[in-house]
Amino acid sequence: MKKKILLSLGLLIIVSLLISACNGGQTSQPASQATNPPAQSTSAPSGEPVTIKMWAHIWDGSDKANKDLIDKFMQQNPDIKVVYETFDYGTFIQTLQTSVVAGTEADVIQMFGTWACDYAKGNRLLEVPSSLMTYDQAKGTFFKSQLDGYYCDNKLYGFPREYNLESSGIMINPTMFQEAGIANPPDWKTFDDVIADAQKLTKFDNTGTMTTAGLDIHGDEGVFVFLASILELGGDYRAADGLHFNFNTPEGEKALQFLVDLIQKYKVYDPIIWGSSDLTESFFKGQVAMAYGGTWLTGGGSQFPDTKFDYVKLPPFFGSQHQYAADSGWGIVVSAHTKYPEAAWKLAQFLALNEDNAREWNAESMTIPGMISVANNPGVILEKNPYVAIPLSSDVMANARYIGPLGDRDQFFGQIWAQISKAMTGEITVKEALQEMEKQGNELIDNKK
Amino acid sequence: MNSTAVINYPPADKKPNYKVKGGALRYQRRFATITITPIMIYMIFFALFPILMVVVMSFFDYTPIRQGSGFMGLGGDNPFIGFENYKNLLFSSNTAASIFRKAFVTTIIFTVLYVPLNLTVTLPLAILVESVHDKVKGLFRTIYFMPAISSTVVVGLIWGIIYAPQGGLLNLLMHGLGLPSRAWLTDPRAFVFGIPVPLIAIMIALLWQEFGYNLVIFISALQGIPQEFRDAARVDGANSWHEFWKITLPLLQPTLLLVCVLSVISTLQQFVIFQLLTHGGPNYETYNLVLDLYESAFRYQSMGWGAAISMVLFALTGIVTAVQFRLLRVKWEY
Repeated sequence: MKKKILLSLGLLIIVSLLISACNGGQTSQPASQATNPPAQSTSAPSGEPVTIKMWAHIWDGSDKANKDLIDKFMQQNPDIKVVYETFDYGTFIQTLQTSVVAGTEADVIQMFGTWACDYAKGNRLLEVPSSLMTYDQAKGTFFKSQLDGYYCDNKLYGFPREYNLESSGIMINPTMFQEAGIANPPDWKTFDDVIADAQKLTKFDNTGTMTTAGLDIHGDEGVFVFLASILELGGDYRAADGLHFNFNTPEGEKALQFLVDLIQKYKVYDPIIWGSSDLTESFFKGQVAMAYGGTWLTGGGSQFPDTKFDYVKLPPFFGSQHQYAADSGWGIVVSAHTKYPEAAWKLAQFLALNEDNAREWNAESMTIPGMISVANNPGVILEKNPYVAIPLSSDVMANARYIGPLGDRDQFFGQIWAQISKAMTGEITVKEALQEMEKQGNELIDNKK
Repeated sequence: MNSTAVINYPPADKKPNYKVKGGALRYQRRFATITITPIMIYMIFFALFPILMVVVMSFFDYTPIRQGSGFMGLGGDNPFIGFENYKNLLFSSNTAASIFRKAFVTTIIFTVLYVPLNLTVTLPLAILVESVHDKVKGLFRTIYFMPAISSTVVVGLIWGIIYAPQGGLLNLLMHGLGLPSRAWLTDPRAFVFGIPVPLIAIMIALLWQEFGYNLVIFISALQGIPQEFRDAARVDGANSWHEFWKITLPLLQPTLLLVCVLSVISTLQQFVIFQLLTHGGPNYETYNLVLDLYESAFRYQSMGWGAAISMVLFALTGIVTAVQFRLLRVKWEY
């Protein structure tokens, strides 16, 4: 009997330890508390400086700028100590997911805008205090296509730091242009001119295998082209409810046929050879003459100093005006678990709402400004990355709209590109691909409603 | 001062009497208890509890980004759904379920092809290595075992270079022979007897890395077969072929069971080489169950769904292992 009691006691202790360990030593906040900041405090009860943590996805320029700005913040706010930690993309996603359960995530998180509503709806993020900024005020401060990634169920949960834009420009290999007798910068009036030059740049070996792709559009960029083309053709990829997808439209068919024709009709790219390779790597290794994507692509050049590159203006795929379905890029949010919401928002404000700091981060991270006033007065950004002048001078930033809810951002892009790829390689027809894309996209929406 | 424990050994048909007071046995038992208790607690924390959580989680529509109402965020916005995840895995027509079923079939095909291929290569090779001169035997063993001690990431990179469509070593060889280049890992239209070429390419890379393990196990088993059996067979007029089929292979049966079980378990759980070489592509042709559960749980945040997939993998591994034990077990020793 005594042994049984001791055994039960021992098991009870173990289970208690397990429960406390799994809760991360904290009690989860109920939803009502999570959306409203707890009692505002900057200092720890003892009067000691508070320590808050900031997490970000690692990339060179962003890290340097974040560290510099955090140092400056701590000098100005000696009562707040900031611990800055970074992760590669995959680890960042996993760490965020698991830590929000345990309540051990950072106070301030540099989060991808398109993820923000998933976390906000799960009561994992704090709403921006109206004393700091309202949505209406934010609309006048940031580009709406970026801000709307942080606006969920009529509540604002964060601020964009960049304009995530893949359109309006293209990275080119000037040496290949010269060899093919094409002017640099090219004088492209329509996208047909781009395709004609891409054909001149494409090379094959004596067995008929493509050795140089004239124009590489693949992966997430391929999905952006598909959506932008639908918009440029005057259509919409959303159904009447504004939530579900509707790709089975004349515009959808024309947009996908355009991508398929690049492979099957114009033969400027082979998705079987380059479809799963890293876009920047194949470009800088000299396998691709033109790589479609945002100005961030040029950052890859630092690892390939021998390859010359340029970033030039691109005409719309259809019509005369650029249209674009924008993914909301990296921005700043505050965790619902933070013990020091005031300090956390102070840091968020310092990083994302201060114009000079926003400009400094954009310049170092080679990103396009998400803040309207910085885009109007880019200053040092153009010194660091002159290619940003192309999207800044284009109509695309003003015309773009937020891509909208996707269910799961990475899953959506992965599944849609898989169907585009199948259509490109002729495994399925354009119509079949559109039907499958619509089915899969809507499943994601319904699963995450 | 002698302290002698008096142990009354029980008759063979009775359980031993452990109620011995004092002496070495008592200290021995106390020492053993103290030693294994922390390990047991560690195992409860880091093995038993996570396994139980996966079982529980598979009955919930659970995603970590939603704040649930109960223990570990289960319940509330992460509701209990009973066997819904399992039912959907088997019968639903949605994309995730279709992908799972394709991954299941791919995993089975890969295992069914890979394990016999591995055994077909390693067993004869072990016999050959065993039959070479003693002076070079060690050298052969070392060379063959080297890929096995290499990191899978390195192996993935090496084979990535070999299979690269542009400037890959295999395509250079093809060029040298006047044959067209191929996209060994990315062509969704390439099949050999209905098996996707990228899956075969992964099989070859994995075989290159793993055959050293089984080779070493077979070599040590071969060394354990008494020479007298072979000599007796020779006296009876057996040739090498008879010797292999009538002596070596039957006596290797316990080792074959071990190698089969270990290889099947390891093959069903392969992840890194798939992730590195193809990420499951092209068009999910090399997407196996572990990739599916990893992507579902950790990339797409559907942990309840991922947990159900892992339970299916667990059941599959258990059933296949049990069947192997049933078919290959022996009741004799030598």
